[in-house]
Amino acid sequence: MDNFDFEKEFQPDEEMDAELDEMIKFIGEKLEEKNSKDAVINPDRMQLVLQVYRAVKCLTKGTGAKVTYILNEPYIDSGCVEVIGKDLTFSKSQLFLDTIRLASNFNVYAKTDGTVSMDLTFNGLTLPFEI
Amino acid sequence: MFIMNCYDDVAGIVIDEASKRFSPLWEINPENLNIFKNYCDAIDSISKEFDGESFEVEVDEITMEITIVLECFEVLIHTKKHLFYELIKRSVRFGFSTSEDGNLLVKFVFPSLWDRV
Repeated sequence: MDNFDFEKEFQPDEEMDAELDEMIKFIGEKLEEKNSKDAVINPDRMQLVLQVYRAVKCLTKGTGAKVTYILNEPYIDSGCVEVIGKDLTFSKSQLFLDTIRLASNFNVYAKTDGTVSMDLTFNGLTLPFEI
Repeated sequence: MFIMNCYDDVAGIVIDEASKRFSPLWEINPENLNIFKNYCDAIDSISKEFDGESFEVEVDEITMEITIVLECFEVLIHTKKHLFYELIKRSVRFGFSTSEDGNLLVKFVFPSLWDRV
């Protein structure tokens, strides 16, 4: 059997939970550290988010979907274009693909209020500031 | 765990029934059917990746377009190239909505497979 780890396979749940908690804490600290550093806006990436926002507005025209963009959240160097609607249907496949490929991540999920959220996430909205 | 196959367990049956209804005026184009089977294989891969729960297939009686709806938890893509994007490129329309159970429904509409006799 490949990659079988006896220690991990028979590790008690409590130990495994504690290990995962430690890992999440470590990732959180790293992100916090990155977030607290001085940074300047990356105008090209900011411009890209706004262009994608306009393209998505065009793609969803007449569908009743709500399109918004969020900058520097949840971390200073990230942002997203969010589309929320009951039924998101698209027919301009190529424009849609050209648009979503500009994003760092593409995520679609169902919300508890019966709507669908389509998020295009962008990284690198800021550049490290060093003197 | 039983893993449903898009073409063998759902789409193939729906297409056979539609072919019976459309004959003798229309017959299935074998080349188009092969391409459609490839789309179904791609949907099977996507279903595995995004924890798909079920498939629903419909044939529009007027346009003869084929709709495949995949029910899954979410779609999350971090790369510029993905099978999901290839399917979007080849579909007539596609979209997202929610199921009664609160899951995500991903819909692809593909062109007709039938030619006039």
